[in-house]
Amino acid sequence: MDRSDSALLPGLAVRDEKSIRTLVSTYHASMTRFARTIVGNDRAEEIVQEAWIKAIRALPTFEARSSLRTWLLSIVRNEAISQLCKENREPEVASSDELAERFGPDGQWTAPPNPWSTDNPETLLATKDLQAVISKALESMPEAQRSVLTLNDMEGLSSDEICNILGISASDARVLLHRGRHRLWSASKRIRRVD
Amino acid sequence: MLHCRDITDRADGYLDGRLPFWERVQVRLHAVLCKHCNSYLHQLSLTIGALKAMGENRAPQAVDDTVQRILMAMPQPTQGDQDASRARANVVIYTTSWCPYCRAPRRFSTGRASPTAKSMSPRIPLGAKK
Repeated sequence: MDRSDSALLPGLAVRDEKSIRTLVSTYHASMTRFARTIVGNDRAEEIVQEAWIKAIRALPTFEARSSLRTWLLSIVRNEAISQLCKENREPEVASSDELAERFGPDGQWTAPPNPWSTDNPETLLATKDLQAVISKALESMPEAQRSVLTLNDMEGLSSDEICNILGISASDARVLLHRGRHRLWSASKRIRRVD
Repeated sequence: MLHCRDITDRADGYLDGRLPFWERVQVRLHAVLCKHCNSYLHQLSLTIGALKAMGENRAPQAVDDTVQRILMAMPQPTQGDQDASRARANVVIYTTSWCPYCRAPRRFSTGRASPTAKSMSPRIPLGAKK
């Protein structure tokens, strides 16, 4: 566990406001981004507030087997999934590999990628509508795919941490990441085509 | 020689630096010779970069509000909580304390659990007569 997290634990156990504030400022943004991937923008704040209250209450039982961040993100996920179940919204299952359709039986491209006009992610992101396109592509993904993509590429978590939070194997995480990234690439290429 | 399909399968590992050395060389070699795979790898890398940049731009700022809600929802800490907190502080200290000679963790350095007579008794070397 991170040393700064260990230093916070005694204060958190007695609900010291300064320790709670430090913890919230460190992890609130990550937790909200992750909650958005499961329940969408409108419900994310509410889910994260609930998750925080549960986490602070459960802190005396925290055994430091994982990092505090992994533990908090697991609580967010459980809270979000149980909210979806209450609303009778099943988390979606993973989709098939869409990339396979772009190749012939000989393993060569039948629908190769078109060239793009930019070499910079920030320029790419500044492109009109691209953020909306990426957000829409994320929303249309199955929940597990979206979660792996967010935790890996937005939050920078390790493969082990992602597997702990989502309760999946490392090979499942790799497949979900591959499909999720390809889906985003497919969505972005539509507005980055050079004619 | 890898096919284009194999390159897309290995693209994530290649971009994340997870591929073994020889596979990395094979992907790089293929990308030099195949402009389609080169474009794919480049565009995928840009897409991942854009997603990261997007995550950084979307950080919410509701810390004060969240802290107030947590504090309002929490009951006041009891004496038991405070005792648990002190015990936790002890654990933190003695799990981070190490013997300067043998680098073994010191298990009784905070006074929470005092060393027993058995653990303090001198060690008898293997093979020595009692």
